[in-house]
Amino acid sequence: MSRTFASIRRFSTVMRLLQQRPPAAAQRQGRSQNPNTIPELEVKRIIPALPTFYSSNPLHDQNVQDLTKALRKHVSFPYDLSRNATVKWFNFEQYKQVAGGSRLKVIQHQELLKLLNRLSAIDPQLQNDDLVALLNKFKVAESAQNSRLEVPQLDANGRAIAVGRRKASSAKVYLVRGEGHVMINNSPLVSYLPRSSDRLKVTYPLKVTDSEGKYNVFVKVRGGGLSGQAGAISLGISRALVIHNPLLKSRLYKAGCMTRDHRVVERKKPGKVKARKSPTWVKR
Amino acid sequence: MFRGIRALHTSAASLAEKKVSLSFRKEAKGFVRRSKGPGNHKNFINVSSTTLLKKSESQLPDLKPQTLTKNVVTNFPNDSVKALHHLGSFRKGQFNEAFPRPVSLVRDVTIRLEQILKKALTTDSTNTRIAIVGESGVGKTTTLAQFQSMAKSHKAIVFAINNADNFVDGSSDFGPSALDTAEYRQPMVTRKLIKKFFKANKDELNIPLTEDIKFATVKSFGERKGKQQDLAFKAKENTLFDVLNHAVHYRGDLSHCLHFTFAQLSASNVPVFLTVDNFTAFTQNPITAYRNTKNNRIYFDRFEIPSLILSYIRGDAKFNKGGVIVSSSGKHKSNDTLSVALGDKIYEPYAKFGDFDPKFAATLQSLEKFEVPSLNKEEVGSLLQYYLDQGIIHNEKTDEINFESYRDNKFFYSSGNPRELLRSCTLNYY
Repeated sequence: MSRTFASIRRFSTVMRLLQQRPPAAAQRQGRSQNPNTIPELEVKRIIPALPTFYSSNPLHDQNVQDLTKALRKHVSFPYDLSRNATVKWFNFEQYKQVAGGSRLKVIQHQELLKLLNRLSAIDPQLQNDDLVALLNKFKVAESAQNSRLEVPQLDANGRAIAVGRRKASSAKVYLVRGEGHVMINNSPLVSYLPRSSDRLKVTYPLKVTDSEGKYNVFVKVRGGGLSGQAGAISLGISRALVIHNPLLKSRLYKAGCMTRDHRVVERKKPGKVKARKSPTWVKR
Repeated sequence: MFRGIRALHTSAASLAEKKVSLSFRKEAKGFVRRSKGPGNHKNFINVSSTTLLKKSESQLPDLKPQTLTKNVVTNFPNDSVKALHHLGSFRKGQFNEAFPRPVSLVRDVTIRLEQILKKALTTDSTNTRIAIVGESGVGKTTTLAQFQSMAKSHKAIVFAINNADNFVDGSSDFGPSALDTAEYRQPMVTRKLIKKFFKANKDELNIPLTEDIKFATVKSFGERKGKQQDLAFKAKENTLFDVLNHAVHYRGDLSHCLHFTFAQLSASNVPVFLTVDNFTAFTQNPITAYRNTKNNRIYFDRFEIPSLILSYIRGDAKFNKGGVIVSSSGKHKSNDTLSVALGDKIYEPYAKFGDFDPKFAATLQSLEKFEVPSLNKEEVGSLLQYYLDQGIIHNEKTDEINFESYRDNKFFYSSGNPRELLRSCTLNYY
């Protein structure tokens, strides 16, 4: 009895609501013209704009979905990956601004680049407008490409500022035209680096370019030991020399001054005493 | 039955057996010591400073106060170099063996010191109390040697203490002092100082005595019997030369002789300069390595010679003409005592005693700071040119170098430090 009463009541409510709303209003608001739909229920229903709304990074996932769809469409087309040599895609920071901000992970950006490179490698004559438009969304504009290569310049005081690192040391080097004075952490070179091998490392980039008496060097260095700091200063001086005169780059490269020494302390492994040393072997 | 002792005749002696040769006396058996080949039991620094001396003639001008020219490498004059060797002004690690005679560069500091010397020759020592400071290897000892040489050229007396570490590091013997001025004496150091002083200043010591002095005769154990014969030197009859000539051979304690010498020098009109090198030994180790009967370490001014030095620095004692020059050393760790005394740092009331000795700093405030700076490019160039001419640079091909870029390289590498410059020229690094 109560069930029958509830259904009659519901029906009457619905009829009343249908009679109150004119069909033209529903049309103007873009809702379905089906007379059996309930406009109020239609208003309160929120539909996500993107189908990937419920994923962790909807914007990126949508991009990947679009690209994957395009790839599936064009998978059989011939492609050559060397065509991508001159193409500049968004870097991580630029893509972050349009694809989720802090939600974006580096591996997601790499996944995107993989798809983009694969699609842009397709023969250009076979790329249709949709594909080109899709790819252009992720390309850096040509004028912007040139501005990305920021050539470091001398500052207002004529100093070249460069950073060099070695092991745990980091050196900020200020190189300015002068007579050959060196100050490291407000101490002269000889008192800060008493070992001659360290001093030879510091002077080597200048010796290679015959510019020992032409520049004054001011260095702020921290971290690591003296030898590591000397290596960091050497790299910093090389980079600063290139800022003063970019033509010296090849000479410094050939002398080995521009290569960052990536050797660092190897981690200790489980089951070993140190990185490589094993505990004493015992027969029994 | 006992008949008495028979006299031993020579005929009996000739019948006696030959003395048995002892087994360890190999030479007695005819064993000839085989030469062990070239080489020396000395370590490298001692060998290099004494046996590898260059023999060729030197064409350089002498260091004379009247003719000082900047940026010129000069020899120490012959008449003063022997005295300076006696005084210990030339050290072992200075590579002096690379040159025929010890050399030095005339710099601004040399000319300034010469002016100070000229003034000191006519005023008492309280007007000339100087502390030579600078970074390690910058040339403080060499500058002091230049001063001593110029002083000797003016026929002044130089009392040089070339290493103040000897008073504080416990290397010498010590005992209670008979004098009122100090508690302890150091006989070995006193004897060495008197010997060096006498050998270096023989020509200037003909100063008539103003007081008598007596040397008690010291007899060996076998000679203790007999009358004591003391030797006395009388005022106006003898000179200081006579006293010291006897003192260098005297086997007894020389503390009273040293104090007497200083008293005579203070009373005379001959210019006297007291120089102390490695003076920062007192600031680094004010509490010496010596211990008293209670096993407590002794403060340095309880010893005779350091207290004598301090009295001249303070001005309690003075020479009628002359001065006191002390020089710091880079081998001692830097301390606030001298820096605060010379006005380089502000006094910190909570500083520990090891970092700051307030009593000693108050004494040192009477010293005037004399800083020796690093070499500039021209000075580096002058020295390099001399080293090239002498042919002491063997670690590079000197025929092919461009002098200006070589000079710039050395200036950059050494930061104008003379010791590092010379090391970079003479030593090979790998």
